[in-house]
Amino acid sequence: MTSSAPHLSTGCVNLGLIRDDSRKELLRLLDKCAGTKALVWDPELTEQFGLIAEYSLLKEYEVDRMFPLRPTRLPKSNVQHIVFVTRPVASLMDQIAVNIKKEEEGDGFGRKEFHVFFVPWKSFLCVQKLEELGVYGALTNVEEYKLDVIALDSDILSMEHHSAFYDINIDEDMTSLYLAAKAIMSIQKQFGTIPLVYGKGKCSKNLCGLLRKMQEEIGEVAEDEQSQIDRLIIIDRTADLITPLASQLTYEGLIDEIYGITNTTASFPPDKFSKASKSEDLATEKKKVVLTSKDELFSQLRNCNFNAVGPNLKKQARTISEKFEERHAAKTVGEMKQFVSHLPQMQQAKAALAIHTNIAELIKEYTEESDFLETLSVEQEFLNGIGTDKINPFIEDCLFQKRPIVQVLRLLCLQCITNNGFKPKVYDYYKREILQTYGYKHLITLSKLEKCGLLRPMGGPWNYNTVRKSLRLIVEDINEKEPQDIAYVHSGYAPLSVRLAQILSHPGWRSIEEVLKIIPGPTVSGLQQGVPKKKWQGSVGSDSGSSSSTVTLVFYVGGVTYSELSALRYLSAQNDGHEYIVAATNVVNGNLLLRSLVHND
Amino acid sequence: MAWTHNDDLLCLQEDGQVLIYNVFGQFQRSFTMGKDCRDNKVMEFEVFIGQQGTGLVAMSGLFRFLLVNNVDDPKVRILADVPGLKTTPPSSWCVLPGSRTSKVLAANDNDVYLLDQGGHCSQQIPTGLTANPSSYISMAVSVDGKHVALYMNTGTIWIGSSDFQEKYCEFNTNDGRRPKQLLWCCDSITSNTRRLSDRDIAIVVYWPKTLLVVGPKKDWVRYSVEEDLNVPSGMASAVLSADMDGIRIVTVNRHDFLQHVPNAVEGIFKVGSMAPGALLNDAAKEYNHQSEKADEYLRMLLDNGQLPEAVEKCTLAAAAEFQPRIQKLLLSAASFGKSFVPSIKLTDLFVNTCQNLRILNAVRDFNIGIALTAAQLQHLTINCLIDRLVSRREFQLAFHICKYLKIPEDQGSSRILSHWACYKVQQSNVDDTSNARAIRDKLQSARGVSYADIAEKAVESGRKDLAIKLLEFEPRAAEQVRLLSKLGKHTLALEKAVMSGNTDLAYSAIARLRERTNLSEFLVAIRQQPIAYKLYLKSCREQNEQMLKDLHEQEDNFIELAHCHIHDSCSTFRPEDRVMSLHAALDSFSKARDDFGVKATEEQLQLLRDQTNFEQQTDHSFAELSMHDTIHELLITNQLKKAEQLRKQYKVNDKRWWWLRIQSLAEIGSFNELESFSKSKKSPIGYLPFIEMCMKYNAPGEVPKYISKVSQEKRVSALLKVGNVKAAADLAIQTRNLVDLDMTLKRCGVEHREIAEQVKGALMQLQRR
Repeated sequence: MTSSAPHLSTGCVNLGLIRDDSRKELLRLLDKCAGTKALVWDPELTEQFGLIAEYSLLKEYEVDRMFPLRPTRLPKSNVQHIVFVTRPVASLMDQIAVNIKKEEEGDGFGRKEFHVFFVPWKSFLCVQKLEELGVYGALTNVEEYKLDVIALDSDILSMEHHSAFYDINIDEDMTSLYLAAKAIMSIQKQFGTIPLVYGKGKCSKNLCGLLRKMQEEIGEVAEDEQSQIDRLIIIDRTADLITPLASQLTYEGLIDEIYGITNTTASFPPDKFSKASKSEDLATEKKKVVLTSKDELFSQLRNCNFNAVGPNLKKQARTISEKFEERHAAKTVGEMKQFVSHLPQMQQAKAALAIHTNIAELIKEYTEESDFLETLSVEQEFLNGIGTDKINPFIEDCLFQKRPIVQVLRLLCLQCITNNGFKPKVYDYYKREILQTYGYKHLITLSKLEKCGLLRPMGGPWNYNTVRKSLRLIVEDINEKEPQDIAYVHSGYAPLSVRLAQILSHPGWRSIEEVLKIIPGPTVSGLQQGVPKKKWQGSVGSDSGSSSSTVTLVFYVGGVTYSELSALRYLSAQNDGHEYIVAATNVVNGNLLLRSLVHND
Repeated sequence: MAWTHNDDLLCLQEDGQVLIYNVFGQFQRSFTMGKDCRDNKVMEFEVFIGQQGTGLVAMSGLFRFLLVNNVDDPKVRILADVPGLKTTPPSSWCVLPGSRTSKVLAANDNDVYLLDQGGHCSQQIPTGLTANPSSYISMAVSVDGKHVALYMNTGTIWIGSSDFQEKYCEFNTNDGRRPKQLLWCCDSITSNTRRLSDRDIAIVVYWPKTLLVVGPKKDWVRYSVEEDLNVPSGMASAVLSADMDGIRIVTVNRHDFLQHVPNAVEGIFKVGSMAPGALLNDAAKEYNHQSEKADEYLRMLLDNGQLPEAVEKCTLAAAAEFQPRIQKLLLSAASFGKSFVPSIKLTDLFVNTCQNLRILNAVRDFNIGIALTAAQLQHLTINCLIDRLVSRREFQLAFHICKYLKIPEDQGSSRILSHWACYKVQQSNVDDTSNARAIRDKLQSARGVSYADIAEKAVESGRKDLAIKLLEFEPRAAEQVRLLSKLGKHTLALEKAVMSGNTDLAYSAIARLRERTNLSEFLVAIRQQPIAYKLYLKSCREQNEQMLKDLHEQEDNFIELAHCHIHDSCSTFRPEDRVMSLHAALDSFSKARDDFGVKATEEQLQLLRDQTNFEQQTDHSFAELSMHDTIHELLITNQLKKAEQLRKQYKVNDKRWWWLRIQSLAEIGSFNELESFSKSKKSPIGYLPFIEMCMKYNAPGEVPKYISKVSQEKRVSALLKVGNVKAAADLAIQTRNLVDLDMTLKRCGVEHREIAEQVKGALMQLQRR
């Protein structure tokens, strides 16, 4: 089986292998239903699956039709098998039951077989539900498609489990943690048992415990092969809630904040692009752009601070037009030939340039709005520890104008964390004003925010200013175009989680023991898994070859932001013998995080 | 009755029932040969060892052959009928083992037929048969299925290849009696690798007291077999069984083994032999006697380049010997020779032979009593031998063999230990605790042992408590939980499920616990497991809200309870229900001593009352509106008085009030009123909002009224908002404010290049200072 996603295998660890595994597993499952089949998709999953198998591949396996899962009758088709591909969510079981019943009543084209594939796991409750609904017996196969992690790019794996933060911190449902442990296990199965484990935050310790348990369950594995990953750092989102609250200022981060990136794809308003696409009807649809390192230009731009994107685009434009100019210089037939052979590549580069110029213009409009600028300046004040103890007039203004609640809460939570919690008077004032503006029901929202530590009264060991100073979270005079520090991703603020990873690589966590005590949640420091590798005993002095650089897997429980990703990529690019790959339950930003917590009926 | 290759005893009853017992006579399993056998009885049967394991062929009363290729996976196949067989049984028959399926050779008088399971039947004619028999009364096929022997009623034996294409010889015994047994004695391992030599095979004919061995070149030997005449007939005579490298002769008192003297042994011990092996052996002997002849012999071998062969031969001969003394002798000779030949291949052979011999000598010990030759062991494989040892409960020896051979733990020692443990739990004379501990102690070091399997065995022998103790050690949570709940230990199962972190497992344990216990017991149990409790709460939230409230109530978790009530109040549309829920929430908050919650809920109740009042007075709906929205709604419907009333009642923040007023007035286009409002008092929020709202609601003409009122520091941004870049730039340059200048510069764009230059200049000047 050939992989059609070469960009996944360009990293220091070949994540394409993870994708290949998932493909094989999918095809194995499809082979269980020999004959023509229709796949009925849980809409949440369709895009994810696009990252694993393209339609042409499915077609080879006799997948003739694809339908979205709806609580109505399925469109008519003369396939032998109907396969429901779904997450284990109780409400979806109802829809599946309706589908099956309707199908069995209907005239149809002869008998059909029904199958359910649960992604990523078969839940007992859902099976029970199917039994209660009386359709379990009608199912030929009920399978589990263990899609533990999906490679989004060459250095990022995601479980695409978007409710992880909510489940763990609000419902205290540790399912996500179990799934995370399983995901790490399958990463280890592919790349070897990671010898050293570090962690910070509420769930890091539990996750380590689960990992150990799972290792016991599978018993001894061949230990002789050396792991391709040297260290694992588990970071619980609750240990660093500041970073998702701060506005992301990288190109990719801004796209995510404004338009949202799901499964490597973002949708943009079409009017900017309509010039490029000639057909009129297309213009009404949203313009979808795939954002991965497959797109060469994007991989240059994604990690740039937005202020550096404009110059970068300009430079690109110049190179391309220079290349086009070469045709005038080409005189001999051979030269012409060479020029023509480069043409498709150049056309492609030109098209990419056009797309990103458009996107950059869209973002520029947004970032120049006073609303964005004012929010940003308030954020910067808070992050610098200025005026966090008083009621902030800008937040007040937003409240009294009834701006979107997420926007208000994002700033409010940032203020709260940077102030180490609110004084009772300030706290009650804000809470009361929020209820008056957005309604009484948000009492629940407030309590949820409190439960996960985004809002709280003063007290406790956390002290932002200490952490800020000792971890150098605020860096003055950031050069956004040629960054000298990871702080460039937020124009001055260095993501706490990434700083932790950076310090672990050099000089080690021992140097910041006191600070680690202040950051919420337990610390896991250098837990050994399996047999310690020789590399750690012998190679301290012989760190010469490029292959000997230490690879660290940073696992975010509760989501990673694109700014953190960019910061880690920046560190990997330093060539100081440390490379990072990221795995996470999902990719988040502050808005998504808060939206999940806001109570709505 | 026969033995299978696993050392199980296989018994075929007349009715076609096949019963399999283990070596201790304990019943293992059974299967049947089918209807044909049941109705017509089994006349004869033969067990054979094929490549798929132990096979079985039975002949039913209708003289039909039924074949089972592997008794472990019994599939009965009916073979083709033998032509011409109606009333008399075939004069002789035997099984021809094949690589995938086996066939049967059967003779009806003087015709020989080959029957296969596809239903084909083909006649076979022995090539070059000179005798003219009226029937074949006995026949035999070699263990590897390559050679066949037909015994005729004339006493002649035809010996040839099993495809009847090649005749080795015809031998006349001059004895027309039907032999008791006719078997092949051949070394199938060597004949596989080497070209057939006449020394390797022989046919053995057995009449009572006599054993005739005939080679393919008509050479023959006669042995007499000791028979005990005191034993009742039938038991008296010997039973012969063909093995792959010889024949076992079992009588009441003895177990003999007849085989060709292996070439290697012959070469060494033949009188006056000058074979390389013999020379090396002599050399070693002389060396031990410190004689210089050793060198002579050795040189002879070295000069001819025969030393490697000599070492090989000595090693092989050692392997073929049964007495440790001779084994040692030969091995030391081999080792002596080996030191002159650096060959990895020979070293491997030597090491393997030593290992195998150690094992063989150990199992040949009379306490174990498994008599095997080296070739048989090689054929049987070590794993199979270990299986046999395990099934004989010789756990210790098996364990030592595994350790000795460094067999991977999961296939070797761990497997044996778990067999041992399974056996151990069936012994009822030891108490549970010490039994569990003993097992744990032994198995601790072993990986990959399934405690669940052992526990299952314990359950089978009725020892529940022991099983539960054993399950403590099971690392695989799913297995552990499954068995525990099978044992009715639902609480423990839940505990283990929770510990595993597998929430799905926990849910299933919760569900089973809920099914099997009454509610109060269930609640007590689940409350002891916080994680499970949380999971249960979550499922209640989705499916059973009343239960959720009850749980919160019992746990004194009033805040959560209050949230449930708030949730209820939001999800209903009937005002009275809403009020009721809010009262319940209020009650919960006060129980929880949450002052803020109490106050907020009281205000909400009050707001609901006010909203209902307003709804009655006007025909506007205020449902679902927050305080802010209510006032806003009142303001844009020109009910200033009511809004003022709310403002006072709820002590609405002054700033909020101003924002609301400005926004509402602009929204309904009352810009005159807006102006008078701006003059009514000093605005607590400044005058920028006035401008913003005018812009928002399309009244840029109103803006200049407020520009002058905007405070100095915000005026630049106000001007920029209106789009008056020129004025903004002038002001910014005038005030020399860095931030303002920067902001203005950003707004200049292409159309205000001149202004931009000015601002830049001012900026440079400022920065220079």
